[in-house]
Amino acid sequence: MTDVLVARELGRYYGQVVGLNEVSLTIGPGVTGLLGPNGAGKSTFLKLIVGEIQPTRGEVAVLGERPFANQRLFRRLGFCPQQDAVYETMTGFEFVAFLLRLHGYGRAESRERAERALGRVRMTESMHRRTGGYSKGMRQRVRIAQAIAHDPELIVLDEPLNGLDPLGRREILDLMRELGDAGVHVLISSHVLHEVQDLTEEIVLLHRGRLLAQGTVPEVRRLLTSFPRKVEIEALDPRRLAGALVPWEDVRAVRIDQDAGRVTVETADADRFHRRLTALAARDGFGVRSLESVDAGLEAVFDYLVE
Amino acid sequence: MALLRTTLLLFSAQLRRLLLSKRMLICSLLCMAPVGAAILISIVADAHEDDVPAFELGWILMIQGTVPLVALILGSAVVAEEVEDRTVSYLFSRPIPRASVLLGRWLATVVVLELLLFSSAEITFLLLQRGAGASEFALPAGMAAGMRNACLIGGLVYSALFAAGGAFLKHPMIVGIGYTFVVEGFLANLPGQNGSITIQLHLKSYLAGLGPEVLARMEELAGHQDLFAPEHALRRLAFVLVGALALGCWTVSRRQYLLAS
Repeated sequence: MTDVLVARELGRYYGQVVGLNEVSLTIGPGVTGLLGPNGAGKSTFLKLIVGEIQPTRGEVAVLGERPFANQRLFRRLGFCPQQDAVYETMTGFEFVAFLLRLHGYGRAESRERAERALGRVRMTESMHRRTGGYSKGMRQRVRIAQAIAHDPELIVLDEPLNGLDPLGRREILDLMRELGDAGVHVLISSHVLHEVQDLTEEIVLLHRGRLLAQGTVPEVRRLLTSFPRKVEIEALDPRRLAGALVPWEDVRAVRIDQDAGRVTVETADADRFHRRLTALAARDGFGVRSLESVDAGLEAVFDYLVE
Repeated sequence: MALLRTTLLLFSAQLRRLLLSKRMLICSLLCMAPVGAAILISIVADAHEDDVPAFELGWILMIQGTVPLVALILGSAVVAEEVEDRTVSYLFSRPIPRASVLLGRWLATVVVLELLLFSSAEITFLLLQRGAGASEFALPAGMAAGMRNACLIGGLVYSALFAAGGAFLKHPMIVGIGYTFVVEGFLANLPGQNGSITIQLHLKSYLAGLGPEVLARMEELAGHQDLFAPEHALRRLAFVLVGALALGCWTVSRRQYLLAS
């Protein structure tokens, strides 16, 4: 089956600010979760996918097409943006029907599809009220309805569960699962892992504009915990300390900075390394003054998402 | 065909949205301001048994004041409103020519703008004409209609210019206010050819074509200015109108609008 999305060295900068940096990935069919803390670059990535903005560097193909201002692609794509914005003078029904008419549907079919889509997000009762009077959750449902109303092949949802109560979240997740089961590709962003984990095992993890990991949730967890970690140790006798560390099986590399009195170690098992080093320092001295895990943040990101 | 269809769809949606907007309320109040001013001036002139200089006041109140201001408020919002409200994502992720967003919304704006300006101009000139009575200040025959037409032509051209500005400027209102007061308000009133880049001078040229009496009045108003032939002025205004719309459409089709989350 063809890939839904292919990105090669995709980058987007906002002046001096990096929104997304050298992201290369392939997303296959089905439901995929896009995860990352706030500011990770998720929205930038999705805006690039739906052609709202263009890459500063690299390229992206969605359903085999370049997205920016691509009308051919937009027929096959549904997008639910993150921003809480709708036409407030329209009713929910008019809003969805109007956007369907822009898709080229006739008046009768637009009305029929709008009614069906709003029914799927449980908005039938309130669909003839003005959106200006809707709660945040109701607006979110209407925005999801407009993304699915034209039966797109790919649905891109930017934080679609924001503003929804627990029941609403469950209903929308069920709808996404239903769409996924029906063969629709869904790309859904969130900063909370368990929300997406209920829907799919396949996740893409972004952090600080970079692709951190991609795969199933257990794969990503394994990958992150098995990353070689850098540990910086300040010691009075760095050369002798380095000599003692080299034979350890979890130590991948050791670098000595004699002048700074520092040893930088790359270890495959940070927890075990810390335990053994503590014992070693207590037994043999070496004048260990400080110890710092340079890139412990990776696990922290994952922990943050799991919380 | 797609361009025409989506332009009409966006036109009808925007017309309704505009009629229910605060912007519409502000513009209606602005269009009532010259009417109010004309009433006030007539009352004061009556009390002092003076005649109202209908042409001069009509020019300042309507063509130099209300027309560019109302066109700025409505015109600059044509594209900018969708960006500020962050609803443009819905339109730009649809299979439509992006230019139709500008064209459809501008057409709806023009319908509302011209209705407002027509009503305001008709009432204002009627009141000023009554205040002038049969004095030397009264508007010559056909002059009131000519000035009303100048208001409508000015509204069309200004709105297209400001709509184009709204498509590529980050703060179209601020730039528009600067343009209205500095370029159109000041430059257009300098003697000589300084005002030839302004819409105001072209509207003056159109009006001067109505007769030598009008031309003489205008020279009294702002000194001697090198005016264009009326047909030439109208052609240039049409060129500015089409050029501004084309530039706006081109910008909308290519520009990336960054929306706040």
